[in-house]
Amino acid sequence: MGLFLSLAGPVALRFGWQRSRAMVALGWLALGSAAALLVREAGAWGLASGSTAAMVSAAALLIQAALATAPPHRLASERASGPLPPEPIDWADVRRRAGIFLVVVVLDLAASLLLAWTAQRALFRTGTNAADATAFALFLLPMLWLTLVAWQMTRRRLWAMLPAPMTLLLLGGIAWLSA
Amino acid sequence: MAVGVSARPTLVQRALSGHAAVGLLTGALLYLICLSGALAVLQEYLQRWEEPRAVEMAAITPAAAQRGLETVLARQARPTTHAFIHLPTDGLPRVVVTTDHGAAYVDAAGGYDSPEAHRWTEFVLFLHYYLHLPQFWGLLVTGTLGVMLCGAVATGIVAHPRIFRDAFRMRLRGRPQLSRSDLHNRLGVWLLPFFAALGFTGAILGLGELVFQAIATERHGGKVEASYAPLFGVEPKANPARAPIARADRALAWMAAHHPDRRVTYVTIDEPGTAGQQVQILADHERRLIYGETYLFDGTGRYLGQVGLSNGHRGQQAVASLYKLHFGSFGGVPVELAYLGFGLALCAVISTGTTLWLMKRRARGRPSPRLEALWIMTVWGSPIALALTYWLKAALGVGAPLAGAFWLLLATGFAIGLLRPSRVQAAPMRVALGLVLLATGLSHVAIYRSLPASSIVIDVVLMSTGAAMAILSWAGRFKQPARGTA
Repeated sequence: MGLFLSLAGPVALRFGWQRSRAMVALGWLALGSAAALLVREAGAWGLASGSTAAMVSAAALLIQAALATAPPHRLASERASGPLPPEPIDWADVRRRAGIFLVVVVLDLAASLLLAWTAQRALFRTGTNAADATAFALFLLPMLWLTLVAWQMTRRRLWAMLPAPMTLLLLGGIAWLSA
Repeated sequence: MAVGVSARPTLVQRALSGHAAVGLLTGALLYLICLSGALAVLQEYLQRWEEPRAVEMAAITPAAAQRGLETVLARQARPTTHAFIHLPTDGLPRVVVTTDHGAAYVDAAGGYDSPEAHRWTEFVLFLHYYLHLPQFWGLLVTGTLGVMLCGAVATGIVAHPRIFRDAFRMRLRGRPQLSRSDLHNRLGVWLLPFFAALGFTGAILGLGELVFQAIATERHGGKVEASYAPLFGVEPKANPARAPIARADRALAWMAAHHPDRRVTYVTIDEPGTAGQQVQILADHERRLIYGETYLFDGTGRYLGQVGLSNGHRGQQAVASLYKLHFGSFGGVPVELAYLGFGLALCAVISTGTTLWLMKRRARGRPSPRLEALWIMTVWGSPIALALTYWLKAALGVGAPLAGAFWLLLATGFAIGLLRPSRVQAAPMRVALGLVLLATGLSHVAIYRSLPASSIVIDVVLMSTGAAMAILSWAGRFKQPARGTA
């Protein structure tokens, strides 16, 4: 039943798309119910299977949409400006990009690793078993890093990217000193 | 300034800019990881395809497995720290005994058959795991790329506020920029759970080594194996005194008697031939995401207990669930095929992302012919290089320098792209890829006439895809509208 609802959810969304809000709601309800049913029946395996089924169903609908969409009678040529004269290398911009790379890759990794490691250390020292503490750090490190990256990528200036990793470094330092 | 127009970029604009930056920074390496990862889903089938003449069986008796282990160890006649027996599975119905000194297929009676020589499959896997770098650095790079993929997913959601309004619009036969935009955005939306899960599990698997190293330094005097122990079980205490080879057969018989519903996939013997040896049996659990449960036995085959991947601490179960989720091995052939398709779709999303950026630059009057040529070479040249390395292995055997040849081919392509960008066009590259795939399938069938069903399917797919790609690209090259469309 869960797998059937996973397959049916995107189909209902497709039929309701730009036509019927009720059908769209039904589609989301089917997907939500499928997830709940599958988690109850088979835990993480059920959720993974249901998600895969839903994505297969959606992919099939996209293929159908691609085949059903007729090509335009005449392909409008894509507007392209004439080539502009080459721009001189903006070394300040190059330095800024190098700085962003260092912050997003090196500083963020260091900050995320420090906080993940000190958090698991604090957990371990306060009685959490080693397996759970280690797994916590394994999941926390990429979670922190990707959160930093996602946030920093919406900042324009280099200095505006710095507070987040510095905060993690500070928190990691406090956790290290206090546990 | 007009009313309602602000000079400050909006969140959506900034997110789009960040999304492009992540894509450009990681695009080529991420594409290689995803392309090899899509193939890695089929690793067992690829091994069979690469070595179709090895002996196959649906099952093996415990006594024959023990005989196979002892036969291979006796042939090698050198001490080894570990020995492994791969037992027949649906994907790879073969028995392989592996030690520190090599691996060999054994027959259903436990006799030696031939050395395992699936170097090309291993080459593809190592490209996916490490980009052929030293293991630690390779894992660090691939883990970082996993984080960046998740970052691109997150910024992509923010950058596309109409993402659900256009949910089923797929105008692949429209203008080149529009068709690529639709492909990028629609696949990006509907396969988002897959992309996020793949990136996140890949990031944990890649960056995990840093966490284990940090914990080892903190608590175990730098011994990394000790930091794995709480999750994956303890290595036995070493006792180098000589002893008969561990009784894997008794352990397998115990499993058959006590857990007949669990399919045993792997046997590991730690420190074989010593008094401290230990047998680990890995058994698959149906309808679970964990890669299996490890059952422990001493050298005489006496049951000691289980590690707890299936019923131990939540942390153990969570970490043990990463592998099947990442490689799509939790639901048999249907899920594997879905993962193959999704993996190729991710390649298309990465490809179209950078292509769109290049097309927009060209439209603004700032074309980057060298970057366009490099990108075409990455997207179409890397699968050609992968196929050509298979030919190299087929011609030269297991000693062929596959990684070196692959990167040399790619570097040569990049050099051509940099020096003669006008020579690099997408349509001829697609024709070339189609012809290479067609020739690979044809020659494989011609050389190995008797093939397992899965290998026949692979050859048919290679031939049909290759032919279709070559014909369509050949026909379409006359109406190629613009440069820079990978």
